[in-house]
Amino acid sequence: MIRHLSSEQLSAYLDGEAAFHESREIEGHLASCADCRDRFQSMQRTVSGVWRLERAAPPPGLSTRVRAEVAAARRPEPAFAGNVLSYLFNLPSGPSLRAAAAVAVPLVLSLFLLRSGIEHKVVELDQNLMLRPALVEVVTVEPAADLPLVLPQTTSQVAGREFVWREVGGGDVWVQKGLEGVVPATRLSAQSPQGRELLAQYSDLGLLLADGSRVVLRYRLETVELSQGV
Amino acid sequence: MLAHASWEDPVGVATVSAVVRDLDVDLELAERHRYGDARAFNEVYSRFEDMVYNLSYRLAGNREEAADLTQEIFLRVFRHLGSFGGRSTLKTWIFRIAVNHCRDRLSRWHPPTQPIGEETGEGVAVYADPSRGPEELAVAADDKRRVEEALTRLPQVFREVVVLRDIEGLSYEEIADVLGVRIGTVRSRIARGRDQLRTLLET
Repeated sequence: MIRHLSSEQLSAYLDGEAAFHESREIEGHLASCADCRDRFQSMQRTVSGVWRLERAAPPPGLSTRVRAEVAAARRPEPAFAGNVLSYLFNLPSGPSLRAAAAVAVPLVLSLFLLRSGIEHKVVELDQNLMLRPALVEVVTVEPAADLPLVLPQTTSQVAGREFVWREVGGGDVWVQKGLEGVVPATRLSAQSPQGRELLAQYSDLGLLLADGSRVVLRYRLETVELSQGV
Repeated sequence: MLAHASWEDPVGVATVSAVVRDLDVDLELAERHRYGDARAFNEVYSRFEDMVYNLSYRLAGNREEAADLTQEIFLRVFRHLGSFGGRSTLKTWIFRIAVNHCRDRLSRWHPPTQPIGEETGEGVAVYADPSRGPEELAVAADDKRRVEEALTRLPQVFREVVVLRDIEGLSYEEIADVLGVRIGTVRSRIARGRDQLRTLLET
């Protein structure tokens, strides 16, 4: 027989968290000890006061706030060049000056790389400057004389996967890394029910399709080609 | 006397199955999030918004602060959901992030002088009981305000366990998982928290 019960025993017993044999012992003691019974009832009253507190309902606008914050976090971190450009774009200037900067900065950068005689240089550029939307852009600059003014984007990370740009049969194709050379088992239109289902699951793929490119990816154990075509 | 679950109880088997099923769902959500499925986080948010807000509110004692805390906690959840490995349930994983974040923030934040019970009723679900007279309702409202005030005066370490147990309804094992302490520590902290709460209510 226990002399008097501790608060810890009473509390655990109240919660149904005392071991089986301990519970039997506590019940036996409570049946014969008025002091411990009073303490137990007092603890029950305290706890039931807490149980009766209403749950606080989140304010109506909170969900919108959180989703907006998360959407902002989903966007890519600007690369170094992007930071420089963002800084330039945030200068108190008019839209025409910003547009001029958008053209001038990559042009000056390209000329600088050519004049320096750099053979292979990897440059990360902000996605806003590129023709193709992407999360991460890596551009390889060749020392060719006919370097285009707007550098082509060759890889892109979308929907958690890496895609490589290929020109196949006169059309642009984004191929999921590792699937280069694999013939797609299924061709899907983005408007078909399966295409819509795929896009609903990986909405970012729409970015790659936006300019008419096709996308080859692994989906449900198959290599699938997705295109905007009807 | 209270009913106790025992190992012979067949309900225990169903509970274990439910936990395994929940864990499968949790892991699938994390995997979908890793592969860029935006709906996965939305599902997590819908499932746990109420729980995280309520916990933040009870720990901070202030609705505005609770909303800010909830927003920051879910941003953390969003950033780390891909690394959720299923060593605990998503529920206790999110509670752990929430408690740690609240500790971090509230250690630098001083609550307003206005006690929690004197705030407006906006945002708190109040269920009127038509069978209770105005006097009885006034007494109940006063009791509620006293409990809320006493709760905000509990030291953080005890407030956490009392809120997790008596408001959020977590088991001792879940609380131990959330706080990263042993079950014996949880048992002792809950008892001491309740004792202190009773003393605060009696004064």
